[in-house]
Amino acid sequence: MNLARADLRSRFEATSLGVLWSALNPAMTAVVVFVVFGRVVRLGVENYGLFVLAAVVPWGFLAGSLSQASSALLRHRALVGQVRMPRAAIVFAVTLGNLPSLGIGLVLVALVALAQGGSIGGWLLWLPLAVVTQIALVVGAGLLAAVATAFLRDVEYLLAAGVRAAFFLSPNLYPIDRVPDQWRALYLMNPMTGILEMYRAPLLSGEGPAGSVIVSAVAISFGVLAAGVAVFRAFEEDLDDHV
Amino acid sequence: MTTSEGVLLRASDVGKVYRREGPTSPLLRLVRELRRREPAPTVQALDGVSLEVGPGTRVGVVGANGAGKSTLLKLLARISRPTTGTVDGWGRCAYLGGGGGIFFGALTGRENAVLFGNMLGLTSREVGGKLSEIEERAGLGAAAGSPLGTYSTGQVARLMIGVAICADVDALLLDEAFAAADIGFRGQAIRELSVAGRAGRATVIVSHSTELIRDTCDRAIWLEAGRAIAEGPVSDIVRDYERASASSSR
Repeated sequence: MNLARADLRSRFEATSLGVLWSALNPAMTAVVVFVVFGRVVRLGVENYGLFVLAAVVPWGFLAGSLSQASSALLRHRALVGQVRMPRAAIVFAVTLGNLPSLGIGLVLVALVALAQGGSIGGWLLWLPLAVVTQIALVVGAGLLAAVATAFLRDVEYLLAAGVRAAFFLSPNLYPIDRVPDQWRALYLMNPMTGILEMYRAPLLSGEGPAGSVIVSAVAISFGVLAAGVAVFRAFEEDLDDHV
Repeated sequence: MTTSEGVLLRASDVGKVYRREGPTSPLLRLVRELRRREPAPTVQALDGVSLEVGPGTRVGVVGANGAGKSTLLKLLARISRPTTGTVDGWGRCAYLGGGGGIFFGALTGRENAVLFGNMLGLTSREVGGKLSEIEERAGLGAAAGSPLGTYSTGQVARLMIGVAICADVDALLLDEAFAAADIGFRGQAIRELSVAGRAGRATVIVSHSTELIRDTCDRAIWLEAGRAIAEGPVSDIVRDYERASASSSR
């Protein structure tokens, strides 16, 4: 936890507002998303502003965490090369460092829903599962990205392009029922589909997502976490030679 | 502290090979190797070195640049994996390199001390209980509450060594850790290490200062081009090393 705090403060070290940026960033994104998709662009989806906002906030957590995780071992190469410690802690730290931003973003989502006269009781019940599942996915993918970048620097840039593409390929801006049937199974293999549904469905419809969507998202996310831990462990002792 | 037959750290016939080209892209390396039709050049940093360090012993490592001193220390600290041979360790050990790159410039000296203590295996509460002792030993005074980015290199070294001495580690591995510290602090640290040695803590020191090795250690190992040339009482090893260095520089 101390390492997460240190990493967070280091990232905003030279800025005037410091770690306040971790709160301002999601707030500014939320305002822009809500105005653009709530007032300007409408895709015939009810309450489109909140619909997009409730997806963009957790997506921001995924994108930010993966970007920082992929370069974490390189940014902290002194820790890798000089301290005998579980190096996965460095990846955990940069991921945990993004949780305050996610929390602030989710508070804004709740405030917008309440301001529109909605109820957030059901959403709050689903939130722990959504957050825990997403943390598992982000940490697992972050561990894989960190190891891959240590061995092949290009991964950092490939990943950035991949996450941008995945934003449009995941149901962030459109509901899953607009996806043609022949692509639906493929979409359900994307764990973010179920995670976004867990964040969004209880807020907009008052009901949780379908059981199969949840099971698929939870199973794949924890599978990615297990794979990330296994791969990281396998290469952990060789990292000093590569960062 | 757990030991095996009175040994805290054991390197058995260890070797370490690095790629000469450094951490460039493996794809580029692959293309180059295919075009050359030969493997990428490597450097043998260590070759068949064995060393045992027991509780309370202070071992100095001497040798010219590129002799493999830092590599040996990193292998003993189990930060790096040997290419050949094995390294075993019992108990907690701290590796201290020069420069203090492990610290965070945005955090105060005090906060960095807690973080570094965590990395050495102490809880924040345990480090918190030792903070005043750490600050006193590091001689930071009012600077302890200032961001580390405002510290001199020497102050950073003092903080790092101060934390390591206060932490209850079983083995201290010092890689030119005194290089940036002033003479006064260096003397104090040497006295502290003497006490620590008597209390059972093992210390391995890499330094180009033969005076420091002679004052601090009771045994020494001399490395040359990755191989152990000699090992024995510190006075003998340092004398032979200094003679060899003097004759080769003539």
